[in-house]
Amino acid sequence: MKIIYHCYGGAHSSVVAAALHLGQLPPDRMPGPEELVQLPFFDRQRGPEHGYLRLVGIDAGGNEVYIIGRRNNGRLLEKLYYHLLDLFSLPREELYLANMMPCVNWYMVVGGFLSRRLGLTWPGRTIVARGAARAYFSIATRVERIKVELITGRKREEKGGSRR
Amino acid sequence: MKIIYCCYSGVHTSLIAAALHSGELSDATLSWSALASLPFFNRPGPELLGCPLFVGKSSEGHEVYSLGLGFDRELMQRAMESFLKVWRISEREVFVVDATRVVNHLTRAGTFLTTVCGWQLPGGLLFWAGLRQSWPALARLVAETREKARQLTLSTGKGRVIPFPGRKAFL
Repeated sequence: MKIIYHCYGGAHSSVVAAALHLGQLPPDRMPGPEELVQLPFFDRQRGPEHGYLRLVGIDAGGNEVYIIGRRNNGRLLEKLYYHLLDLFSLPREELYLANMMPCVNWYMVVGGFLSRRLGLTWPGRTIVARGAARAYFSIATRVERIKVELITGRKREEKGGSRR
Repeated sequence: MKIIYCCYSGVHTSLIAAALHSGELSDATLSWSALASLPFFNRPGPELLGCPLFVGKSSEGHEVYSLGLGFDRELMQRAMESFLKVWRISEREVFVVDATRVVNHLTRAGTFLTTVCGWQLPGGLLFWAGLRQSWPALARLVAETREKARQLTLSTGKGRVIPFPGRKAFL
């Protein structure tokens, strides 16, 4: 299965979510800004790199975890991807798309704009890291919910399979 | 093989290109009534964005689709390209063509009015005015695509695997 965390620029909330999903960040303790900044894709992607799926890692269940920056095209991206699955007769259950924008706060918006759009890396990154730390538990809760959903979904499938 | 023509709305330029490719439209004549008879043509609103619309089959047996990618088309094309790469869908299975590269500003404005503002009549009229100017270029693009798809089918049919990275299929 492929899990895709998506947000505006694929540089902050989706990166933190993917790292939480893969166990690179602890779900029960808030990491410091320096821990966040050290994440491989944190505050790295710029405009021309938006739209590319980046493989962050493979989770314990063997699922591939990706991130993508899609600007304001969240719904369109989800629609397109599910229609492409249908077009190539691939099962929809093999894809999970998670929109991380509801977890984004104003610190992350302003910091991300300064760092990625204006190129003011130092002040922007400092603000965005603080914002990400503030939004951390909201992101962690969402990721945990997704992981539970994936496990229960799989169990349901297995039960369905054994009945057949 | 699936051939997907892309434009902003999926119900204008790409739909016409797909109809030309599949033989639903003739490139010799351009008439509003022929365009209006195409399913989904000039349909207002963004509901059909992101949905590949099946237009018909080409004489070579390729399935031809029209797809609207919205106004951030380059980003959405990258997202689509990335998707195909991640799912290991090879060039012998899909050929994506950007139909907007041959149209002018009038057609773009017409598409915008219909798709974003929902103004079907003024949007349709502007689109029609622009299309008449870019019609030869659009017909040429379809002819080129048909030829490339044919070559691709022939070359892959002989067992030559086309490497995926760098997808030249994105025109």
